[in-house]
Amino acid sequence: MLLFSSSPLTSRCFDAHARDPETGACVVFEGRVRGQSHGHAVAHLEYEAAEEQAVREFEAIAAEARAKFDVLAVRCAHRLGRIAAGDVAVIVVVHARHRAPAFQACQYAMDQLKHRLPVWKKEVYADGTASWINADPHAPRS
Amino acid sequence: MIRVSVRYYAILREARGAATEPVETAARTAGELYDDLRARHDLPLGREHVRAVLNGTVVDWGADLRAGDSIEFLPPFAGG
Repeated sequence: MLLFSSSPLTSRCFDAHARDPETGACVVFEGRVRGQSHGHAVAHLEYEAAEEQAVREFEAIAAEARAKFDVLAVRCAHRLGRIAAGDVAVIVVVHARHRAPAFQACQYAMDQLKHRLPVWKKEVYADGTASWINADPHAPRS
Repeated sequence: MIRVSVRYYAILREARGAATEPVETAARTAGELYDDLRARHDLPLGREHVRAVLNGTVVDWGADLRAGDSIEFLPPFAGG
């Protein structure tokens, strides 16, 4: 499951799913907006997504994680729009019977989604300049 | 000439100044259309950095275009 939100994220986004009696481990990863990027002070970020394609791609990533690791569920929430330094940009939540596969699946899902989800990030700097990460010819790579 | 619907994201949307537009084109493939639009609007990325999604499916640049198609151009991803 992938949710997009224009409101602040917390792992409570998934509380409704947290009562599976098989679950013995819940790993939550929060990706936050750094205040510095390659020497620039970051004022805020702007995210946009091709939402339907991203939801489908995340389902593929979650299915891979469930096939590779002994986990029950892999879920993600991602911010859209303008967000400030220090805010949570992405959350991955994994439920499993045991902690080791939960940690592994969380790392796998996070690594994959950075490369595979059609999501875009513009960094806007305190000096008024901006760059689209991974796309501007002269911009830093994430 | 055929008429198709084009959607741009992120750096391409900013460069074009619009998220969507109808386009009249003589292009026969997704790649010819992208090159045509890149030249018309001075888009900043070459094909090698862009993915095309035709009617909801990721396609190669050689994919045939037909009247009424919807095509989206996706710059390099940067989620998380």
